[in-house]
Amino acid sequence: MTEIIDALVHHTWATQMELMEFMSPGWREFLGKPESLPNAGGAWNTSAFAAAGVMPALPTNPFRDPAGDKRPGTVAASGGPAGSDVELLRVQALHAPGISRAVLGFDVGALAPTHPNPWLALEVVRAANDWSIARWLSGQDNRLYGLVLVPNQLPTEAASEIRRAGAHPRMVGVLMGGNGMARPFGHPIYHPIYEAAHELGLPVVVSAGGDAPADTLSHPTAGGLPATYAEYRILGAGALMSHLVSMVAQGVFERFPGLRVVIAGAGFTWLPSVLFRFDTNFKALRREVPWLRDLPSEYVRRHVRLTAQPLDPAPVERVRRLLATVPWMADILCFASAYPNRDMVNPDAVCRLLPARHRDAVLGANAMALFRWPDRRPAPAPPASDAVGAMPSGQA
Amino acid sequence: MAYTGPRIDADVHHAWRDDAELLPYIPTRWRQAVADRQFAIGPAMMSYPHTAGVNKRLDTYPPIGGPPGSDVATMQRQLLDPHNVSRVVLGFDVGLNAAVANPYLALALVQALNDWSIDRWLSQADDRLYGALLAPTHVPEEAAAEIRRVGGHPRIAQVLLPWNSLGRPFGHPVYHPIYAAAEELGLPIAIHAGGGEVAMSTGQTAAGGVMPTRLEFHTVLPQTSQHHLLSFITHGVFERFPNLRLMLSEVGVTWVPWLLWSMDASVDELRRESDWVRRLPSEYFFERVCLTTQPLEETPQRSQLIELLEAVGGLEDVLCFASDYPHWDTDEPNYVERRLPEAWLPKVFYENARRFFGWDTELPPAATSAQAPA
Amino acid sequence: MRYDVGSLGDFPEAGVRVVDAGGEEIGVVRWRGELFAVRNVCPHQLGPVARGPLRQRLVADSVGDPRPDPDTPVLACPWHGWEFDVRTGRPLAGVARVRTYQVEVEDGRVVVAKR
Repeated sequence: MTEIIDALVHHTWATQMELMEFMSPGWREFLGKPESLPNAGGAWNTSAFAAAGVMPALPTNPFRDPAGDKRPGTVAASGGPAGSDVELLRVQALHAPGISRAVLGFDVGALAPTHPNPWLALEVVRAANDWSIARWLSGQDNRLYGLVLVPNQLPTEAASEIRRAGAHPRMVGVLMGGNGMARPFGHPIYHPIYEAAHELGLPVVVSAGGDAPADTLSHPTAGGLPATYAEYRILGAGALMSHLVSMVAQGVFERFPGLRVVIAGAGFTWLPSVLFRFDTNFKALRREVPWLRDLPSEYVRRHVRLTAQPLDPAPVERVRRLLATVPWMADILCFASAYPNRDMVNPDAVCRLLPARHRDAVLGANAMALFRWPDRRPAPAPPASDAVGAMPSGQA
Repeated sequence: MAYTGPRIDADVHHAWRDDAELLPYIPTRWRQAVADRQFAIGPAMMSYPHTAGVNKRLDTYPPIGGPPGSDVATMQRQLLDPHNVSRVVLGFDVGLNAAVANPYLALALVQALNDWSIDRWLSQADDRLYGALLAPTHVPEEAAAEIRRVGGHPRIAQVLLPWNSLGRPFGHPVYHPIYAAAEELGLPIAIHAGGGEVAMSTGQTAAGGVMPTRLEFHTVLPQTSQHHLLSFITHGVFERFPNLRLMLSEVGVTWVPWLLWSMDASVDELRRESDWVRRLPSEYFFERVCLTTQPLEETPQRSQLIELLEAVGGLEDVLCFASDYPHWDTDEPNYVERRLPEAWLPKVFYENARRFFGWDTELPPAATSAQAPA
Repeated sequence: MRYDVGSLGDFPEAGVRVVDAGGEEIGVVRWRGELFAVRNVCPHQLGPVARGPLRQRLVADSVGDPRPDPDTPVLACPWHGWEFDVRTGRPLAGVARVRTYQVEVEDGRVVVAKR
């Protein structure tokens, strides 16, 4: 029985004050002192607002679930938002579901790169990585691992941050959260980030919601902005489809042949239709991207993984058959709970969707081969089947 | 066994031979300025040139000159006659000419395009030719007036919304005067792929940022229509206008299972935020919406396509064949015939469109160009 | 069966002509002095592939930097733009091929051999 690995858990700080302990004196001075103003109160994003007198340092996500973003019962008695209490997270996200390794990937902190002040955003990200290392990856629990948050609004600094924080042995990947440059993630402006991740053997996790914040020029949906949270939730996978498509088309996997990317929090029942459409269009428009040596779906098979979350209720047998239209679908799915989000999933729910022979792979083996664990480095993705410049051999 | 029944082609693109052909229909106030090229017939577009040099099938240029889709005889010879087409719905070269930023010029152009289409195509003796009317979506009240002006023509089949002009998905209440007028005239609405590829479009054509190449843009293009569809449900367009039907053109079909499952899974959240979602989203979809088949997604095995089509039962009743002639990603009717389940063919090629457009009486036998002089 | 489809002079360099060979349309390509022949049927939706543009293959040794490959003549189907190496019939993407035929010059005449 293989380990069950949770590829994405959303950890966060109790208050911004906790994060600010890891900022420089200059930035702490800039952000202000708590209790220096009468209590303004009313801020609903408690992880960003510390106390009256301190400037909020995170961008705002305008799309909030009216019923609450988090699963009831995940807030600790000590106060602080869901996902901020190490002990409670250990009990609920590790013990209860029998998780042997969990990858921590921030909560609202992941949106930091979209803050319009690039320097503040950079400091927030550096502090977030240091906070993560100090408060979660320094012996609190051997099952906890981390992702390096990337300040992608400044790609050169982002590469440096990956090389800095990514040196820590319990950092197992890199997180592209907020869309700091308002470009699809395959755009060459982001390539220094992938170069650094590739160099360190770290996979890149792209998590949902990065195009939602109020300040970003990129939209979480096409055709205008949605009027409701529900529409954002339904269509939000679109942004990750765009990032996936652009990473393939813009040659990220040609430039960085060992790199893997994880699309997290977008579900997966859209993947077959996107792959078939992408391959069809590629056959017609290959001249736009002549550096691609294989079909787009082949790059996805070798380089991309998807977390199996959220799971929308649908007839199980039909979902299974839809997944089977992509023969290697089980090779690229990874279990991720997304604890403590309202739509988090447990291993049993994922198992129900898969034939028994795929369960070990999806629940653990695929993630085992993906992240840069301190006790096991992943094999890099296999190369394209044809040499650069050679006629395609047509090997599917 | 080959399909020998009639076909309705729900999405074909017609064009004018040159600006001079359109000028007589443009009101005097604008005509000379357009002729002198002070004002263009159409807005600046986003920059996705086609690798072939034009986004058209290269063999559709009429022998007598003019762009693809501008000659009735060529369209009869290449599309209508060989494929036993009983009716086509002509929808301009998607109608983005209406997307000129100046709303006064835009309205004048829309009226001109509608008048040109009726005069030069829909008044032809070839009664296979039906058409969409353009509505200028950035001025919804004027759009409603235009629908009432020309929507009663016997060969007008639907209202085409060419451009997401106000940065809101089409279900938003700001557009509802358009649907009131369409329902009044018994006309369905058509939303054609994209509709955002113009300058100053605040409704972006893709989530996640501006896609660098046509390949990327075109691959995620269904996202716009998916949002429009969902917004129709959120804002109760199907409730407020109980007879209104919606056609989504040129966005393919295999994404439908994902979207229907996703919408139904979030119905409680939708209802928390809108009083208009009184039924399951999928119920609205199957009752009021049709999709054109094009571009039908290629799959290495036919069984993969069929699995995706059958994942949510009932798609055989909502797909309407379209060739998209003369665009580059046109679907040849024989190709579609080979790929779909055989039992679906009479519905997809004919019955679904006949019902959708309200052509309840049996259509006359397909005329050929020999019988219908231009 | 062998079919005389014209004199060599009828087939200009870097060009393609569609000819009839035993009731079947064949596209004959002349490229750097050599002749190639492909059936005028695209494996995708059966379009007239040989009536599309004949161009150099476009390659790239690095991302973002296209380079023409003058050794490889490519026909792009005029319908959807699928590209085929006329020397072998193989597509530049995917696996579906265009059928190719032997073509030779005999006494200044171009002869296509169909099996």
